[in-house]
Order: sequence, then structure tokens, then C-alpha cells
Amino acid sequence: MKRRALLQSAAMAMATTAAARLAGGDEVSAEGAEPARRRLPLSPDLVWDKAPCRFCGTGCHVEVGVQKGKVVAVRGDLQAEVNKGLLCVKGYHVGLALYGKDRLTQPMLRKDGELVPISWDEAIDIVAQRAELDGFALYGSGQWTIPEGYAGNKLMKAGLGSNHIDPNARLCMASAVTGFLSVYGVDEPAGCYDDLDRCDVLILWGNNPAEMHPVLWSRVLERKVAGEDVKLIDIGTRETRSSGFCDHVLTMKPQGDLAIANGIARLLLERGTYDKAFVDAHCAFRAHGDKPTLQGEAISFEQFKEGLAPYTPEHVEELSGVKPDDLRMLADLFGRRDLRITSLWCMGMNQHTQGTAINALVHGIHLLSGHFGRPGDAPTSLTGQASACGTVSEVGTLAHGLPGGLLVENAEHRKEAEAIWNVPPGRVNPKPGHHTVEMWKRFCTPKSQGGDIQTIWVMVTNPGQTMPNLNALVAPSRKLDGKFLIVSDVYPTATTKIADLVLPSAMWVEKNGMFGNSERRTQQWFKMVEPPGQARDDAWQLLAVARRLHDRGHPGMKDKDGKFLFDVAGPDGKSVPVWEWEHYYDVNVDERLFEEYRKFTRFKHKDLAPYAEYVKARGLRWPVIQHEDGVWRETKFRFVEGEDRYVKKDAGVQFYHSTSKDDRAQIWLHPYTAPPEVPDAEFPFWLCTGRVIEHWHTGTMTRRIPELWRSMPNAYVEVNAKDADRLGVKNGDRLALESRRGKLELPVWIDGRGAPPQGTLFVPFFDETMLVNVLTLEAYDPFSKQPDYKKCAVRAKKVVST
Amino acid sequence: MPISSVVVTLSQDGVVAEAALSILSADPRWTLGAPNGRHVPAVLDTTSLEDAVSLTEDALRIDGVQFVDVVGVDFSDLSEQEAT
Repeated sequence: MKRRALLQSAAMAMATTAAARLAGGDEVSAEGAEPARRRLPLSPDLVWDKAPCRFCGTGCHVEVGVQKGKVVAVRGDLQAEVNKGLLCVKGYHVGLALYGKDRLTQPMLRKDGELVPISWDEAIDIVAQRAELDGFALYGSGQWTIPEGYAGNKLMKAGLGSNHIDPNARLCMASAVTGFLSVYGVDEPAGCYDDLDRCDVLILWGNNPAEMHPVLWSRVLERKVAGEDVKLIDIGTRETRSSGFCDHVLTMKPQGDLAIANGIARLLLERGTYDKAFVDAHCAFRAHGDKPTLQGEAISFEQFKEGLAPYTPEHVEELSGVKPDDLRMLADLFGRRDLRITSLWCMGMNQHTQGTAINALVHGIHLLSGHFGRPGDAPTSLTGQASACGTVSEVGTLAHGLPGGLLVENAEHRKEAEAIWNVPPGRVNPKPGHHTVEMWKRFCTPKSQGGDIQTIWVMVTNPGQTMPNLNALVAPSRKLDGKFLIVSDVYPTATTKIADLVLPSAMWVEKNGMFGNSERRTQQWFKMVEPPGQARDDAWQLLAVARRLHDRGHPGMKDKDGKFLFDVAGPDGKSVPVWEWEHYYDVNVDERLFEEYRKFTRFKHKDLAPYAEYVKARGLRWPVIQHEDGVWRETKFRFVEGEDRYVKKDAGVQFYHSTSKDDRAQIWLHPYTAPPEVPDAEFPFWLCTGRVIEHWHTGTMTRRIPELWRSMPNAYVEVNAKDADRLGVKNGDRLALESRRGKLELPVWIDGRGAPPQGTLFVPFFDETMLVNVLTLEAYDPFSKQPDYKKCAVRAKKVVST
Repeated sequence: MPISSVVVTLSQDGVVAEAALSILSADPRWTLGAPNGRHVPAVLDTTSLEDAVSLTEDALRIDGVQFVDVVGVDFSDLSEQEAT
């Protein structure tokens, strides 16, 4: 058989297997196909291995085909529960993300305004020298692998005694974390993706999974197409591709979600359709006192009811624009015990100056109505990055955090961390470092005026494009003496272009790695191909800097026994010099870092299994517990007896990290508050920013995949047709947008994909040639410190060619 | 010359689904396998990945086609990608 015919035959076998899986069969009956676990390779001389997709937080698994040292094929992994063999448009192109021709391949230092090549030895020396000085910060990422994030956290907190480390996840899911903490006392969802297979009602709160989490969305639509009675409800400020599939589309005013949630709760109480038994057994009530805190103060049921009294359907309509009948429809659904309801959200609720509040309110509706704890009954947040949960929330790469959900401010937690790290008492600094916005603000402020951050080392992220109010939070630093920007990345980006030192990194299957997805699933993969040129693992870069500091005599780089902080012993018990690149893969550094990190995970019942278990699996959802038969088993639904081993016998539901210390979850009263900036006569439009299906985040990878780039080459401004008429623009004309912070010109797309309401504009942020974040607002949630990218005020004017 | 493995999911309306299947069968760029219920395995052998994406998007516009899921792509014959 000729090679091409063989490839076609193998491709058909793969498609047939997938078709059978979609039709509901595990084994394939169609002629010529193989059972799922023994299927033919796409090409006979490929070597296949598993990896999670590099892009979003869904956590799809792909199988990666390698031939002659190069990734040449990808396919959806049929063994993966998350995606069941399917991939989205980005996922099946993920292998090509490695091969853009402008990969960074050597360290470069800015000299006389130009980036010029230098050696790794010199580069590591420069980073180490900057780390020895005051004002050194590490700005990480939800795309760091778990071992990378752990190494960065340990370098800063156990080595340098500094908490100036924060991740880009501060910009994407920090409010989900504070929402969980304020309600349950511990973060991350109680449910999982299985809820999508079991719910009767799915409510999207400012969420567009058709573009942002398409594999999860197709999982839901497949049920609907198969004739299952699944009601889909979209609540958002603009219609999206998801809206078209929904039974109800409720378009709200920006910030209206707070009023809607309160209105539902009020109706449940007024009608007596809340779940009194569940509330009496498992819930308590909270509100802010005079001095707001994440834990709040206890209030009575009567005080809670009184606080909701203003949120009549008519008042909710005034605040949100959602009609009373639609609000009653939502309350009707929550009031029914025979239905199972899942709420999904992502950036719409998290990038919000009241992000903690709206997260808590949506959890509160589920708790109040008892829609919690059964498969399909769950409030679930989704994340945008591959390891926002795994590396940020769980590893604690935050300015206030320690691994495993511990806190730097807590003396007992510091003591536990110092014991695991074997460093002297007092090494971990009790004062939280600067969160993201504050870190960059101080980097942009002269030292003499309180700008106490002098150096930022950026890894695996692109703040030169993603920070809000770029003109205030990034640009000024480039004009100040003494401010030094280091960037580790794989391609030239908006941030490398302004950096003082650029370090070339390995990406995805060019290195070992582990991610943690949105449903508490920890995933592992092995290095499959070599990185290009001198590109090297981010974890190696961190260890190499730590060793250079050690060799320069930094006392923090030794543990209590005088050993190097990142000492790694080989099979013979002798230290392996993993800080030397040629020896980095003599041992599995990822495994060593992970096994040390794993010791932290028991404190908050986020137990992880040994590394070897993840090698065998397509991810496991924590807590992963070793049962009496020796098998490590995952947990699908937390806090529920029979599913979660930490729940006491006969408890039914037990919130064992309750902030009120009585195993109860907190139902919060959070009044509606107006957004910090609203349109007015001078700046009459709302501006919302977001993503598109073709591109992931700042497009640094997907804009280098020609098929994706050609599908969506540039950013645009989505304009309502009536607004376009009034502004005198048609498709393709350029519109100048201006906020109080900056200006930007963009091509017009009337109605676009989102059919924006009148007075609302939408611009995606993937395009580094049109930086929408020169317009956005840096105002942030008081608890999560997460900025609001979804609403600010702008004006728009047609650009007239001269 | 990439080869894509895809699954076409047809409408539950048998008449419309049959019509969609006829349209796809008549297109030489589509090689269809044995349907499994409403799910039809298929192979696209195209000159570029862009063509494969266009083909799947075109298929989605056919009345009776509910979804087109791409389950694998072999791009071993593609040369190095052009950066933007």
C-alpha cells in the first residue's frame, strides 16, 4: 500500500473510532476500525505520546505524533474524559504552534537600544545580580507548568525571602478564587465537567463557551441535539456565538449581574421556594461589616431577607435591563427541586470590580435553592489558561500565598512551609508582596517616589499586551532609570520588544510538564522533541539563577543543612548538577519538584497522588486519595458524602473548610453597586474586551499558525448597526476609540459575532498591532485585586482618510 | 498535503440528513466512511490546512449537518510554517 493510501486508511480508522464513541459505543463495530485503545497510528513510523493541549483551561488531551524529532501530527485523545477524542480549531493546530519561524533561540541583552545576543552564562549572571538587589519581582503565569510555578515560588519565598511574585492569573481568575474562599473557605469548584452531562438547566453568566471552551460546549450541545431536554440560558452584556444555541438570551446592562442574582434570591425567599432543609443544615449568612473583609460578619436569616428586600423584579429591571418575567423564569427554575442546574462562568464574572461579590452571589443562589451536591447541580467557574488552577491557585504563586492554599500572613502556615523547604524559621516573609496591578504600578514609579520594584522577571506571559491601562502600568517603566525588565518567552511579543533582557524558552512538549485544569484535574506529559537553538526550560532557568545566587554566596539559597535549596539527588544519592543545562535531564526534575510540592497539598484537602499515577492517567481530579485496596482514586464532587472521602459519615454534605468553623457554607448579602466608570456625554459608549475562537490570549502562538491567522488576522471593533449608522461607518471603515486613558484606531465590524446592544462596543485583545488595553481601566476588585476588562467608557469617531 | 480525520454529525431529521449525505458524497474532496447512527466518519485530503478548515466550514453550512468535529490532523508533509 502506498504511503498516502495508508495515511488515508489510518485517518478513516481514527474518524470511525471517534464516530463510534460519539454514537455512544466504547468499542468500534464499523468495518476496518480498531477498538479505541488499539487503534492504528495515523502514520506507521510516528511515535505517539499524550499531553494536555497547550491552550485554554479546559484541559483537553491530545495525542502528539513525533517523527524525526518533530511534531508532525495531533489527534484528540479518545482515552481523555475531558474531550473524548475531540478537539477545537485551536487544539488540532496546537502542534504547529511550535514551528513559527521567529522562535526565540538565544538570550539577548539590550545594548544601545538594540537587543544583541549574549551567552546563557552571561544572562544568568545578569538575572542573579538583579535578584540580589532590592525590588526584584517575579511575574509568572497560569501557563507555567506546576513544577515551574513551584520552583519560582520556592526561589522567591524560601530563597530570597520575598513575596513579590504574582501571576497573570490575577487578571483572569482571582475573583473566582476569592469567591470560593468567601463561601466555602477553600477554593476551586466542588463539581466538575460531569455536571455538564447531567444538568437539566445550564446558565451562562457572562460566558461564551462556544468560542472560549468549545469542546465543553459541544459536549452540552451533543445532548441537546440527541433530543435531551436541556435548557440553555445566556445572561450577558452582548450576544455571542453561544447565544444562538440558547433557549433564553437575557441581555443585561454591565454590572447588572449583581442585581439579577439578588433578585433571584429575593424571589426564592418571597415565594418560599428556597430549600429550607438544605439551608438549615448546611448554610449560614454573611455580609460586610464596617470594615469589609473576605470572611465578612455573620448575619441572621432575617437580616439577609431584609437586605434583599429592595431587589423587586421591577427594581432589578431598572438596574440590569432584564425583564421581570425573565427574572421570574430564573427564580422558577431555581425553585424547582426536580431539576438539576449548573451555572458556568469565566471572565464575565471574574474581570469585574465586584468579582468576589458576584461569584459569591451565584454560589449563594445555588446554596439557597439546594442546587448543590448532586451531579448536574453545581456552580462552576471555568479558567482561561491551561494551568491557572494548577499552578496559581494550587501552587500558590501569588503575592499572599504559599503552596497548597496556605498563606504567608499565617504563622502556622509559614512554619509548615519552612519545615517542608527545610529552611530556618523566619525565612518566609509574613508580609504579602505586591499584587499584579500594584507591582506594575510601582515598577512604573520612580524609586524616589515610592516605586519599590526595580526589576521584574516575566515568565510565560505577555503583560505588555495584557495589563490594563498600558499607558500607565507598563509604558512609563521604559523611561525610568534603574528599572530592568527581563522576559522569558518563546516568540517575540509586545513585552519582549520593550525588555532589557530576553531569555528563549522551551514550550509545551519541548519539555516535561504538568498542568491543572478548571475541574481540579492534574495532568502530566513528557518532553517529546528538542527546543530550537538555545531555548531552554523555564524551570531550568529558575534553578540556574538559584544556583548562581548560591555560588555568589546568597545565604537564602542554602537550606538548614547547608545544601543547595534545589538539591536533586540521582539514583546513587549524589547531587546532580541540574543547573547545568547538559545535566538537566539526567534526572526528572519535574518529578522531584512535584513530589516535594505534593507534601503541601494535604493541608487544605487538595491531596495529589504520586507523580507516577499521573504518568498513567489522562489527569486525576483532586483530592486524589489512596483507598484501602491501594488504588489512588480521584474525587468528582467535593463536600458530598460517598464522593469526597473527607466528608464525615452520615453528614450528607459537609463544608469542612467552613469559614464559620461549623461545616457550613456562607450565603452572602452583597448589594448592587455601580461600576467605577460609566458612559457619559463625553465618553458615551461601553467598551467590553475579550477573546475569539481562533486565537488564544495575546495571539503569540495562534497568530503564528497561518490557518488561524488567516481566519482572523486582526482585531476589530464590533459596533451595533444603529450606532454604525449614527457614526457614519460601514464595515471596514476605521473607528477611533478614545477613553480617558488612551486612543486606538480599529476597523469596524457591524454587529460582528456578538450583536452588541446599542451603546456597546467590543474589541478582542489578541492583536499586538492594536493594543486595546491602552483604553481599559485599572480599577480592581477590593479582595481579588482583579481588574475589570469588561466595562469602561469610550467615545468613537470615524477616521477620515486624508 | 495534510490529511484530516473528521466526524460529521447529521440532523435527526432523516430526510434532511440524507440530503446532506448526498451532497457530501458528491464532493470528491470528502471520503466518507460507514455512518454510525448520525455520526459519519470522513477523511479530507487537502493541499493545505487552510483548505481543510474551509471545507469543514462549508460543510457546516449544509442543511442537515449539525457539527463537524475534527479528531486528528496529519501535517507531516507540511513545510515549516510562515510566521506572521
